[in-house]
Amino acid sequence: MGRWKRFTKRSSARIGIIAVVIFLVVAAFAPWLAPYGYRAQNLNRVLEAPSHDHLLGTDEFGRDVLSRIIYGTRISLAVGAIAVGIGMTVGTILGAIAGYWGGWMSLVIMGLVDVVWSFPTILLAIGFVAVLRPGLTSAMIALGLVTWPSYARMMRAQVLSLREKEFVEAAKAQGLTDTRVLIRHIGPNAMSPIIVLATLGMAGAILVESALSYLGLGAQPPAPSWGAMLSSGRNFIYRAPWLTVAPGLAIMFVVLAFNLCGDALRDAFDPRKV
Amino acid sequence: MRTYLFRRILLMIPVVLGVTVVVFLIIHLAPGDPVLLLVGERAPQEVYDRVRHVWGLDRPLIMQYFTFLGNVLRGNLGMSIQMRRPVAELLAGAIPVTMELGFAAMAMAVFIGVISGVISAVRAGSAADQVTMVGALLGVSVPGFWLGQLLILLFAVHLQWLPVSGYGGLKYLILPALAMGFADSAVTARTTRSSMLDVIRQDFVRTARAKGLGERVVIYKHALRNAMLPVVTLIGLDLGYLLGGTVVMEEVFSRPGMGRLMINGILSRDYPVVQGVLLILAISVALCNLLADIAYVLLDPRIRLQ
Repeated sequence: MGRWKRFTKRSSARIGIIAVVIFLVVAAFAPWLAPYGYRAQNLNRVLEAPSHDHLLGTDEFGRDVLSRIIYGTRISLAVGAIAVGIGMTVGTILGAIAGYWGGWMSLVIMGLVDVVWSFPTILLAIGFVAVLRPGLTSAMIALGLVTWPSYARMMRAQVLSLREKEFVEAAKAQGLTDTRVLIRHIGPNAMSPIIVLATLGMAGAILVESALSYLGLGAQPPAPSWGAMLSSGRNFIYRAPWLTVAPGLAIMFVVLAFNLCGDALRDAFDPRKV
Repeated sequence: MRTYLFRRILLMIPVVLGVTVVVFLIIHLAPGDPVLLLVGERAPQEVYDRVRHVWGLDRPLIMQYFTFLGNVLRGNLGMSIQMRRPVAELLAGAIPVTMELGFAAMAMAVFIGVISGVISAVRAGSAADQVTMVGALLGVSVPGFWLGQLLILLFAVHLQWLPVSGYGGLKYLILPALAMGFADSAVTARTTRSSMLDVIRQDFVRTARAKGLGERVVIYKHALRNAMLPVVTLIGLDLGYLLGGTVVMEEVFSRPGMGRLMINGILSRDYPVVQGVLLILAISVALCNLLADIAYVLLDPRIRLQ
């Protein structure tokens, strides 16, 4: 059975894919799906409970919570994708260099991996954001900078095992340069576990971004970040509990969707399960 | 064993040095002039120059790093710009608060995770197994700080059993520890389940059953003991990460630990404080990793013999 078939055979994978597609559609068509603008204030209707007009209620500025959650999908998915993109690019390049050429380069790169791994992800991300100044761009860069070691380690292990294979020797015998062998022949064969890591990494990046925004270090007002919405909802926990419940559910569902896909991909790519 | 320990400790030295370099660079490459923060925008040039000299900021970066390293080794983490107190003193007050939450969350995670993992493995495929695994999946997907807010909503706002936030005693510890422990218990439960599933299929478990031992004795005395190896390692590794996670949870529950100290430091651009917290937490994680490795070797005689 092919990997893709093994992947789609799992009901959890199907649920995960459908959920991810739904979130992508919501993000793409947010202006058409949201009943109000994410900045549209109505000071006559502040902290209103869920009603027919405002399905998830309103916040302290009378803004529609549902609309802000719909627009917030864009922030979460964009941050996740860009952070994973940065982490994956940096990590796979460094991991491939360490695995293919080894020697002192491997020693330095893997030493750096060990150092970065000594910091809890959220902590180092906070440190970078502090330096880069709080904001969404800083959060994306920080997340990329703290997540690359996982990709580097995985890529190095992949390259180490692949570089001894016959097809690599055949490519070298054809007179291809090392860089070409690495990019054209080893790279594509090493990508399966990297894709799994990236899928699970999306979930992790979205969680950390929401935590950063919750702490006031990620998206800045009036951007409709789910983490920031939870943070401001904390001040009205007695009067308006819906401000606490709805954005949290949105974070949980999107993270769950990527975790479901990532888990299923990992099982589908696991050679022991073939 | 001694050689292994010696090598492992020796390997930790470059990592810790690397941590000090990263922390030093993060803070020193930050945009903005720390001298201006100290003296203010309107200070005369000679005051600015004097402060810059006193703080050693006019020296080359590499020299500043060695001074920083020397100070760290002597326990001097600098002065807080905002609070005008030694960072080490501020940390001394905050570390016990963070450690208390970290250990309580860990205890909660182990308690929930191991029990649910064992039940799930022993009844693999049953409804209990399915519920536990769905719970574990939710656990890794729920943002801890949101769970914290939900617990506040339920137990503090509606039921009024526990305080909303603050510090000082067990009643202030339960909700944050539960919020952090739940997420972590998911990973522990998954690891315990998969390790137990491996162990209960092995011959020695079959032999224990064949001897006529009760199922409880077989599971808890024979199987669980052997299945705990990866779990113990995970606990060691997780403790460091839980200490990092406290940064957010302390903000949710207004606990005066290292996390709050760091966030306040960032918002007021009090870099020595940020530097101190980052350094101490990263070294704690490195130490936890070392302890996890040592525990692994101590628990598994096969590794010791290798």
